Amino acid sequence: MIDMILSNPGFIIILAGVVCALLPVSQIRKAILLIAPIFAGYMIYTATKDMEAARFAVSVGGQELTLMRMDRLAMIWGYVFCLAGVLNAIYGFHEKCKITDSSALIYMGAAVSGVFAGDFLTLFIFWEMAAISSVMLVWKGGEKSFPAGIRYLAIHVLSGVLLLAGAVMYGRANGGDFTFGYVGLENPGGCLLLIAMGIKCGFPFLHNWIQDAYPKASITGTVILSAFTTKLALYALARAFPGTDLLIYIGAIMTCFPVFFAVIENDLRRVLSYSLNNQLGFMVCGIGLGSELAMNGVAAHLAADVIFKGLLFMSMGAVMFRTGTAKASELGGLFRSMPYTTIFCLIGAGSIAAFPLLSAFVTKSMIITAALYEHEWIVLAMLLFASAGVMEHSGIKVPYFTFFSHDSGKRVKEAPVNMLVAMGLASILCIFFAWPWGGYQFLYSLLPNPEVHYSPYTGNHVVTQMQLLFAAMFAFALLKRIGVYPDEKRAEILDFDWTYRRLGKNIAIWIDAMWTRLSANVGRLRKRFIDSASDKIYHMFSPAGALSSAAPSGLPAVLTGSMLVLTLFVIYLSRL
Amino acid sequence: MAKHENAPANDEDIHPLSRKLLFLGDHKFIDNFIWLPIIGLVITVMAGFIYPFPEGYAAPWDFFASWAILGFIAYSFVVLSAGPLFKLLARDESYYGEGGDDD
Repeated sequence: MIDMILSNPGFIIILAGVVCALLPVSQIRKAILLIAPIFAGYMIYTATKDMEAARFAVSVGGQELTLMRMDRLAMIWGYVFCLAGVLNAIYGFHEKCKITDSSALIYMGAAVSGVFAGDFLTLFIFWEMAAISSVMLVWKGGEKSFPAGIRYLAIHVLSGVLLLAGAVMYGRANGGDFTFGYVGLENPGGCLLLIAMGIKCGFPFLHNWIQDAYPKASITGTVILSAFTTKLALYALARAFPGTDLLIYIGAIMTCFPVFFAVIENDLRRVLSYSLNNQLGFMVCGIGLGSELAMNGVAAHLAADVIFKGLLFMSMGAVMFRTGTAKASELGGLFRSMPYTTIFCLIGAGSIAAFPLLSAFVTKSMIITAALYEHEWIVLAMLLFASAGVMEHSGIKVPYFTFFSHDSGKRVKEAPVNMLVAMGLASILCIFFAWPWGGYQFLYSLLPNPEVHYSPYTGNHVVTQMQLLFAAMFAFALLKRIGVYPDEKRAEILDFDWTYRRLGKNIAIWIDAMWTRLSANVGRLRKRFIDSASDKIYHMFSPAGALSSAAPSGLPAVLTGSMLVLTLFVIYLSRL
Repeated sequence: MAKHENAPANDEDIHPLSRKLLFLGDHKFIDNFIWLPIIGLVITVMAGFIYPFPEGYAAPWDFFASWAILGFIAYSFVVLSAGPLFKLLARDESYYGEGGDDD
């Protein structure tokens, strides 16, 4: 049993989460919250020394489950999840909530365990565990978050069911082999697996749970959620569908469409949720490209994205913690009260926009370069368009409307110390990952294909990227100056979730009303039919009925003869 | 020492570090901010001549200022699409009957 718990770093975190659920003392829970991911990170480090020896499998009902499988792809995901866990623990240190602490640990543990799962059945268990534990973080957002949490749970359980169905179909097609490796789209099981992963990864039209649930979760909850669910799905895609062409185009669309929603959205945590979708698009596209450089780009961008997106959510969370809102229309001028948070948010914004010396500059460019090498010109143009879009919604809009713009008159305290420490560490990592003298080289050394050479600091790359960013900044300043840049207004922005939150709901109400009316009418018709049939049967078979009266003896003979002729005719035709 | 024009009546309300950054709220600074990207653009476009695209590693549309043009057009398109999109997609905050969001 102890061997099994120690086999997978995620199991330790899950166990810590269960212990936290029983611990009444907040300080001890916080210590566990911090120590568990550090210990898991150490376990990953130990396991990387002999990756084959780290493998651990058990047999359940004749089916072998590989609970631990270590390779370089899993390794970087594991490290990043543990790092995010440490930052999240520090960020949420002020929050004395047993449910948040324990569900955060179980959720993180499930994500780490899923990354090291060696077969689809094990993955399914942690896939569902991550969904169920994370919904608690959504529900901690308050009463208004309850419907969003229900939708979140329903969508993720559906994803899990599809994953299991796909795994079973895939396993059967492969003679009972459930190994979590390359799947492709050759068999129907693969298609179901892709849809299951696509739901969790926020594919177009399947993405709305992100913008629905994340902004409604608790302040700490949103930060935690942003790190794991979609990234676990991304890992599954990288494992099962590398080089699948369809993903190139899905990813390219994912990078572009959220940009248009983010620009009109007023809730800045929802803007960041769209931004999360957009960044996932880059990585999905990289998985579709599937080259060694692209896969390195995916893994590197994952590491950068978890940190800078976490940092942006943290800064918005700190603002919300102090002001009570994340609505752009209600904010502005907060650099006067929260200068450290402003600086950290600007570092996060610069990182996601891919300024040189900040993380995405050395990661996103690998995916874009891979698209260039593959001569995917349309995809390349879409990725560049999306890069300008990122500059708009995350690089400019979020910090501008929160900390600058008009002065909202809000004079609040700076964020709590623990939040500042977490944001400070995340900022340092954003810089470190892009640091030209040993920083990005360290990140690259952890990538799945370390032998691939890529140099991000070439003159041409720096120049072209700065052209793009300066041009976007110039467009912003110009549009602002001529009064064309739109003001932020409070509104509910319709997205594809309208189809099930409004249209689907109305159709269900209409079907219910129709069914009620129909069942009343059908009942009446049924009663009339039964009454009429019983009357006829009575008149036919009762002692006074038609069959009781004497019939001419020739009629049965004619009827029998006709049946015989018909039967012979049918037999004759069937033999032709 | 004279108070800064953006300083509120009560200095206690401003974070000590922010007092050094109050120029960020100056109208003069905001009006002149546009020169920062203009100067940056001029320098980087000129640098495009010095650091050309590597042979065989450029998109068909790439030339010395192509990313600047793409960035400007893409950014402007996204922002200018906001007006029509907002008219098309914006509804009252209580549209779904769940009482809006966080606050």
